[in-house]
Amino acid sequence: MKIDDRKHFFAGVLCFGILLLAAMPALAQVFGKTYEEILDRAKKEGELRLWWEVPGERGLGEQFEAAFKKRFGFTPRVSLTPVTNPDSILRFLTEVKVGRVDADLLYAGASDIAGRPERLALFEDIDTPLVKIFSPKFKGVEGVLKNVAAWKRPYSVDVTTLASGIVYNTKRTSADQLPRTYAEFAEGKGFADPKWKGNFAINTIGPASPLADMAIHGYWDIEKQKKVLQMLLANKPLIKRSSGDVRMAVALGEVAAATANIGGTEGLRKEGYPIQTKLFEDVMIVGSIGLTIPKGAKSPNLALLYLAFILEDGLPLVERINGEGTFVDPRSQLAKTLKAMPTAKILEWTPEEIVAGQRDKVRKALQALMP
Amino acid sequence: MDSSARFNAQGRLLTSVIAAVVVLLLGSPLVVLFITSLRPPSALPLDPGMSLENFATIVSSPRMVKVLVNTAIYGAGALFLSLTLGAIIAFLVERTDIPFRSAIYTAMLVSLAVPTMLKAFGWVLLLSPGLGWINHLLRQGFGLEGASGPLNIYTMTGMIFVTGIGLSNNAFLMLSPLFRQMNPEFEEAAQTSGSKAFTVLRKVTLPLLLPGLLSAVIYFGMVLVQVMETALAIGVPGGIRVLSVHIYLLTKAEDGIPLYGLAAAFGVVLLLLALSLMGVYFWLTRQQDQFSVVTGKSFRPRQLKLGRWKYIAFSFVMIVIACYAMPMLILVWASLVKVYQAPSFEALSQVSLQSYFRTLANPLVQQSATNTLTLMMIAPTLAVFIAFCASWLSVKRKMRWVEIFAITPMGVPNVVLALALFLIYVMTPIHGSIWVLIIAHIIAHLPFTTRVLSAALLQLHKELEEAAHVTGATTARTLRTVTVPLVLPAVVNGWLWAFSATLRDFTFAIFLMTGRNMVLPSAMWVLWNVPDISGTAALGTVYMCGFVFVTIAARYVDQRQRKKAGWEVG
Repeated sequence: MKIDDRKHFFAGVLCFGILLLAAMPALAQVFGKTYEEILDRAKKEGELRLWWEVPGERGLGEQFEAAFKKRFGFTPRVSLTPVTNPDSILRFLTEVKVGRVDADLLYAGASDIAGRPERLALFEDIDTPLVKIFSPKFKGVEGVLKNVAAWKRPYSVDVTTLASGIVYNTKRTSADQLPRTYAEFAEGKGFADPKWKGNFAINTIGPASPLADMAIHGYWDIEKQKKVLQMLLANKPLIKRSSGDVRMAVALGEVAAATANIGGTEGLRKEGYPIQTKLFEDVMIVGSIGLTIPKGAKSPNLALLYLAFILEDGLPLVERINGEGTFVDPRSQLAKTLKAMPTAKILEWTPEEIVAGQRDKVRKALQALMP
Repeated sequence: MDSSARFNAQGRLLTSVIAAVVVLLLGSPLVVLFITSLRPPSALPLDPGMSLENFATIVSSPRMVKVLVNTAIYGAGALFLSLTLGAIIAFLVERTDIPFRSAIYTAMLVSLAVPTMLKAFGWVLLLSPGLGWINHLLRQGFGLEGASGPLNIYTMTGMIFVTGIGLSNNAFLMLSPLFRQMNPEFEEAAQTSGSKAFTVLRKVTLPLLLPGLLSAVIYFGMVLVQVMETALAIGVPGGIRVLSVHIYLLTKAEDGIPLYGLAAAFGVVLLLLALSLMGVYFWLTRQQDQFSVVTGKSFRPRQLKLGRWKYIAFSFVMIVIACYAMPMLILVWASLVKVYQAPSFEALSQVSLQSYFRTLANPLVQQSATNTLTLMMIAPTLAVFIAFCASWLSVKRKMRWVEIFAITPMGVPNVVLALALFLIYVMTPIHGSIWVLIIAHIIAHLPFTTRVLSAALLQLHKELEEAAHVTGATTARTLRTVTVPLVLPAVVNGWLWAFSATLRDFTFAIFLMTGRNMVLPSAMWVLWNVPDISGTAALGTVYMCGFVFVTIAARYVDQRQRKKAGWEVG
């Protein structure tokens, strides 16, 4: 290398370094450096645009508001957009393409973000401030973060776990009548048994959740899944369009039992509906949905504070009202149930499997069998 | 400038403005629809890339034949049932001396207020094999064994019944102005010359009603290809999948990104189908003057005396109205009990208004109610105004392309239209506001309102407007003082229909929802997903009551106008 070239090279490095240094404060300024700074900025930001799907809980909004005020001493204005997953991520990604970021705190499936660098680049690193600033202060935050899978961090923290199992109507059947394992289905037992004919429900979307997910990590091959689905369809299930509708059919006594994700049954039970849940002893299929903070959020500090609040106070509050909670929260009923089922295998699609198209391949194959 | 030249200049200006509004409003979503259908299957909206793969998927899908056969059976059955019921009741109300005509008219309209999703749920509560109250009563009454049946709503017959009944009041709304505005002179002339009643019906009445009937057949044919809620709530549990549900499920993957490109491709195919049907319609009605039954001569629609058939006709109408009322009443019952149980004397002790107080005190519902009021006042009014303009241009100015353009959204499923609007308006400040919902509803309701108004305008002879112009009246004045008063019943019906459709819509409300533009259907959807069955039913009941109020008010306007015109009021 000639002297002039070296000069240019070092000058280039110097300029880059200066630019980087100049940019650092701006980058670091997204979140305050200390708890107090975050709190102060959050108060100034004032309004949180929250995209989440749990607004309808009776009195939940007021309870959240009161708990937040008790914790942080002020009440932010929360503008809520109720969204479901995965519509939320699709809508968000589309909005970002035209330069619009309408959410400060976004409810989205981590598996639809992770594994895709172009999507990951749209979200803030929330792990660092949560670990460094909030964990030492809040034990609930620390407890949850410890259990979040490495591939979801640093962009997302689970707040909902969709755990699959059986929901059943206690007036129409009892726990000891129900299938115990997924393996029974493959043997023509469980809901494939003629005694359940026309008296159980499955979910059309997915297409027959949770059976569609038995291919996770190759636990079942596609042929086995297809065979099981065909046996179930031959037994005349009531096919409902979503897990919510499946639970409703069971709660109202339209069918005795169903496979579905079990979240939300607690709310129905507290209303007085005769509905209960049971997990399979061999496998538990889970899908996690988390909260993320998009880059370009107008109120990033308030979003971070609110996220910490949800992890510390909100998750137990939601669970108390609505059900099982998320399995990453050691205080949740789901986590306790899992502890009592040490042999159950937990299956969750990984970003690698999703990006490689394995999930879509299985679903397409099973969808073709549906009426 | 003489009156003729002035009229021409005004007409040209008006024509250009109206045509520009229609093209701008409707053209952009259609362009977006085409572009989205050409995106590669795995791409996100606004991603680059072009592909015909979505269309290839439609053609090669192994289940497509079954879906199309199901759709054809379902569509034909529901079309026949809805139009037959709608036409019979429209005839009885408008052209006979059946008792309580005004009350029947109001009852026909009231059931429009209940969202289709809730109506379908009401029928499930009545006729589900395991849960249905009617099944429960039948088992008890006839001592039948077993815990389910004998009736099963989850069948093709069940779908046709629920959809046919549900659309028959729409058909009534579309057909009643045709019967009302029919000049009886033609029939009387035929009778005077010795024709029998059936011959008069075949050779005079039906040919005169042809444009309106064709219009209704085409409109409801397309609606039935798209109508989704009933097929989703009743067809899917029974394993019967029709095209609309197939498209919906493509856009609603529980995991993974929904297949909007494929849904848009279906939208394009349906759009082409709708345009073909419209071509057939225009070809059949190309000599429009022969259908003009309202001329410069005054006439009084003649009432047919039913005599002793009056009571049979009245009983028939009451049975149909009972079919409208039953799912609504079961919903009212569901709103009064905290935990749903079949109606019984024992369950009466559980009845309370608690769910009403709780639901109406919910801030989400209160905020949504304000937005809903704005939406309800603006969207139907603008839709009817634009539809009137488009129909007038088509019928009186022979610019049929404007009408064709106005009814093209008929071929686009609402969920696809919502996606197209989202993609257009996401780049503007309108995104997320109540205005995006207003625009969505105007576009979605233009086809029906345009069909209603163009059918009514077809019946007005051109001599009426010509007479006004000869006396020096401007185009605007002619429209205001001659044309609009004569088609006011159709205007009122169109507005009421658009109002009720706006009230019932869930697709736009949910798809385009943000924290700022929540309306009552989105609030109802949120409650439904809690799930809060009694709260959702309570909100549905409040809806119904609100609609009864609006219906009565609109009926008052309509009747006042009819009295003014010297027509007999029932």
